[in-house]
Amino acid sequence: MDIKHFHRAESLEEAYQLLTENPKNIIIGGGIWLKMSKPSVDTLIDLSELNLDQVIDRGDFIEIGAMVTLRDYEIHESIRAFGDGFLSQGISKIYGVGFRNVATVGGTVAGRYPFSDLITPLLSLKAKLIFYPKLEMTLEEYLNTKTKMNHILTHIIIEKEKGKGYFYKVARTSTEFATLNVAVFNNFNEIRIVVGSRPAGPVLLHEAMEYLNKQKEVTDEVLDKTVQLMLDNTKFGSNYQASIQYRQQLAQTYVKRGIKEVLTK
Amino acid sequence: MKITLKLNGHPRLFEITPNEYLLDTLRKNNMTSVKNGCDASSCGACSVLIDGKPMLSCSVLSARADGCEVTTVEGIQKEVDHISDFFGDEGADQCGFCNSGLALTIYALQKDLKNPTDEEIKNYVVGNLCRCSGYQAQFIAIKRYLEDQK
Amino acid sequence: MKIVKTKIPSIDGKGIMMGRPAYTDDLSDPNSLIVKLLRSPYAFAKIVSIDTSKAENLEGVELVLTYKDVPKKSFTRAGQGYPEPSPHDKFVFDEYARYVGDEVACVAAVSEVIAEKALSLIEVKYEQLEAVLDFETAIDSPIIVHPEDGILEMFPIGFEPKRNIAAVYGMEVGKVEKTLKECEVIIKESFYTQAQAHAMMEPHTVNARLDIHNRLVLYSSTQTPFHVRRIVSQTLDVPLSRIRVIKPRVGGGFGGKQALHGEMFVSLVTLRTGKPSKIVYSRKEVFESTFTRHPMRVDMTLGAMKDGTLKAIDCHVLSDTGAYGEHALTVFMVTGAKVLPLYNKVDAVRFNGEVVYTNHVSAGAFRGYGAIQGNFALESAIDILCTKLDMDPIEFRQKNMIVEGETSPIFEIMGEGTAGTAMIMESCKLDYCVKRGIELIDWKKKYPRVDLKNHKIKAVGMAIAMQGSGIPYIDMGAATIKLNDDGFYNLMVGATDIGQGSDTILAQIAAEALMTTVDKVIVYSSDSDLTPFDTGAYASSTTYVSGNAVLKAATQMKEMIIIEAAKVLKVEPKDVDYDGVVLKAKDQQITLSDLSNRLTYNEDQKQLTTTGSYVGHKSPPPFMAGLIEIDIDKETGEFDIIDYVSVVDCGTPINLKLAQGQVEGGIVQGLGMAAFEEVRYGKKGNMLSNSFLYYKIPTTKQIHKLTTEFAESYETSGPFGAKSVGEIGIDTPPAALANAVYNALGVRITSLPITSEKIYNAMQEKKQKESNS
Repeated sequence: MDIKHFHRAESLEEAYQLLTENPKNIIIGGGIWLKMSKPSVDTLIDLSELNLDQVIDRGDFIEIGAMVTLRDYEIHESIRAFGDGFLSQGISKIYGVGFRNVATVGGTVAGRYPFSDLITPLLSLKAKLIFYPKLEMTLEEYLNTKTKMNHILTHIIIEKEKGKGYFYKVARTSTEFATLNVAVFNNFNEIRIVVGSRPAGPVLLHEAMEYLNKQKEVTDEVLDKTVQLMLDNTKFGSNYQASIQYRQQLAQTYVKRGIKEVLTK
Repeated sequence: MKITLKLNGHPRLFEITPNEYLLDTLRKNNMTSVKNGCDASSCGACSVLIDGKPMLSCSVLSARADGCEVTTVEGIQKEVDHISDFFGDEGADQCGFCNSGLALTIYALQKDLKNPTDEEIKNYVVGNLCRCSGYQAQFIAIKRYLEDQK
Repeated sequence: MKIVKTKIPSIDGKGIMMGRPAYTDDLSDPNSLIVKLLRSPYAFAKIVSIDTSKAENLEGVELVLTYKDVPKKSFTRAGQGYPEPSPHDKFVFDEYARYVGDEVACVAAVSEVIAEKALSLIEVKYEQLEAVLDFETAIDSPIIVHPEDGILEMFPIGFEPKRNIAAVYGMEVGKVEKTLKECEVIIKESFYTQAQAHAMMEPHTVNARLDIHNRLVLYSSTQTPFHVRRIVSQTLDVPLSRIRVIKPRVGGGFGGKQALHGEMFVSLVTLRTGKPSKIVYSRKEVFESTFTRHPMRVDMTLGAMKDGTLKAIDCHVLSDTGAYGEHALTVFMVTGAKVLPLYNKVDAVRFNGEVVYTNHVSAGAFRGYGAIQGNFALESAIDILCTKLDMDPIEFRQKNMIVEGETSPIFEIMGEGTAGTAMIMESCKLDYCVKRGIELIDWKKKYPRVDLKNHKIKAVGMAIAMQGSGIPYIDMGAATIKLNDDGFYNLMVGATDIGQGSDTILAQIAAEALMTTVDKVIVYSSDSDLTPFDTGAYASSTTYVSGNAVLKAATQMKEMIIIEAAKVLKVEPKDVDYDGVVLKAKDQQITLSDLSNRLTYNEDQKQLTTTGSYVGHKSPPPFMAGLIEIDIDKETGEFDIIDYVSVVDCGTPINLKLAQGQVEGGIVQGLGMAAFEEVRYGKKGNMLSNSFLYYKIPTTKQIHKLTTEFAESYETSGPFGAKSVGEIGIDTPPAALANAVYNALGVRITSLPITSEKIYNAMQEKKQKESNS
């Protein structure tokens, strides 16, 4: 791709100014896949000078800067603390360290990649996105946003919750896109379930969760009904990796296994 | 545009274009150890250390690396000489195309992880693809090197 | 043996890991023009018009070439002996594009950016034609992939391009139909194997320059430098004496560099501009515009008696050679020739088939070279038969497989493109390989399956395989040894090190014969001016053919040294005692070092050199037993490969670690074909899997354990008892895996790759059948 200028922004204000003044100006995250996109760019705006590369424990929540690399996110003790490390488990499945030291959390989330092993488990937690200027929304809301946004993603906030987490990625080899990925989180009050790479992106299984969380005991029958609600309300599809029928089967299997796993002491 | 890299310990000025990747800048400047193996950030043959961290140089804009310390195999010759002893012993070096990138990753691993498990080692180097060796000889060589470094 | 059968490190691994310039692109002339190719976006099209004027006028562009600028002379890109068994059906540039990615034009410019821009300025009007994209309906299709004149076969191979047939072959021993009628148990099955991409880590690259003698010098990442020289010479009408081809370090080939990719273009550019030029294939070009493995359908019929005696094998193959016929006949023949003799005691065996043209990417040489496809079919079929016979698959193989001292009529009948060579299995430790293999994997405890907790099943499966050691009466290798002052040697070999370590093992063979150490044997290889001839790195020929040439040269050199020492010591040569360092007779002695200095500077000066050549009179097969252990999820069909045991008979392994590396590298590539890799096409014939994002080779995490051992074996016709070992490793994984899956779940997958979805679907079908009955 053609890039006319590379500019290291000195403030968010400046970055936003540049972004909005020309539709051919874009923000670069890690830039890991930049070369695979075609359109030419006038100014590439780099946020590396803006101190957005920290993971900070703020007491009730963890604040993750958009420029935190996948690797730094993966190994940070605050991130590992969630659900027995299921967030980190997801990340460790993404390529190798050479890749994860370049790609950023912000770039991944902003890109809404449907196969993302970062987004799927994160969606099962109470995650919120902070944009400049002055915009906040939940991760779920962001994933559902279809309109083009001109705001700059600066932070991801995860509310601290104790709990047990489960993540599974279906893939033949270690460095390919997930055929399907599943995350389940039990905060001992409720269970949240996310299915991603359907091949469409990660979604919370609201109907299934609502039903499941009302049950006093999780029997085989309850599990069957839970996954049936998933099938009734979630769109799966076929692609080169799997047919829709097989994906549905995988989703049923791993959602059940995930629920069982997060219920064990 | 101009950038400064501390390349293998020496500050160097490079003239680059904004869309130039570090891989090309390095190869143009005779760092032949850095290899171009694919076009999809997937093979690891282009791995270099930027500020000590293994990164895919094919996917880092040179402009992004301005001001950073970049290490290639040319910069850590003594350490790579030592790593290559273990590879030679195990017959893990076949065509060698993936070896320089892998050597940097191993060097970084040794500094980064204390007492890694087998799985942690594999997770660290999994992004350095090899088509020749079948991986086992490489893995044994890496473990012996790590043991030796203790 | 002091040097051979040891574990010494390779002679070049360290220097390469330390990043010294070594590969083709590292050695390009810094002033090289950048050559880029314009490629067809259509699977089948005719160029109606092509206007290169805008590209030519772009500042920085030195040359643009299309079919109008190159003489129309057909050739084959396949790097094979001359006359080639592959049809001459390719033109440097043609009016037809026959696959998505076919070359249409090339530009040479001062920079990559300008070259890319120039490509975009070439205006091509294509007439899109309907394409042949299904190899099963290619024969006699109204769409003809090669309708043009000027293409030909070098000798009869069944070439019928108007019927989309590149090659045909058939042979029968005994009477298969008749014998089948007498059999008590018959099984019939068809197997599909997919196109596989070599995915070697170094993309194809060539650079060209004119030297001070005005000769064309090519540096190429090739497996066959001498064939490159000949083919460039013949096609571009340049005298052979005016061309030099040098092969630097190569970053992997596996057959994917056993052909010309890029050489024609840089040669033309450099010859016409007088300037150095280079081409480096992008990974996308490597996937789309070099070669794949031949996808095949193999129809296998086996007939046996209830007592487990295999009586008849009937094998029919349909092979898709894609847009051009490189390696069409020979790969297809190996599918039979290096597989069917495994069961040599049958009364009747028939092998026949066709190789067809389609508008897919051209298929070519790839490690295993047909044997992996044939092995998948035969070794799966054997297990199917065992189930029907209710016989243990190990017992069945032990009863029917080839044994040392035996032969098979197929060896005499089927060569590689031509008639074969009869041979007795002087060394065949297949029985030991199977026995030891089942020990190492703990077969008896695990066969057929063990139910683990957590919805998983552990199972084992196995397959046996054979390959060859060079092509008899065709593959020639040669070596020249020169004695230097100070008593060290130069070893010049045509043999082509592409990472498999041939430079090292040939140095070992020489050092052993010369009774010296490897550091005193300096290897220089694969330079058409400075090294003697060698056909190249293919057909598992290097250890056996090139190794024997080295052995001959080294043995002669040792004799010459003794003769010179005898003159100095004033005795008869037979009275000289030589240990590689000191030559003694009675009470006198002279060191080799002193002798060589004397011969160089002081008295009776002469340069000692010897050259040894070797052509094989047979192709003694390496053999192996491959056994796999998997843990498979009985709900989803996902599986993990827990262990792969290989017990290999390659005669004497010249270097234990490098031989192990060849086997293990082959196993993992074979596992790639068995379970992970798939070249995929879209509806318009475009390759969808043209990047490492979508084409996934095994990573280190797929491999938990590889257990590799060598059988004690000695092949007297091989150097120090060695047979070759480069390909054998790749053959067994597909059948071993299919058999393990069957043993685990009772479902038989007959198409590659074996995916969890295929397994799941098969399980569902099985459940359906069981509930219906």
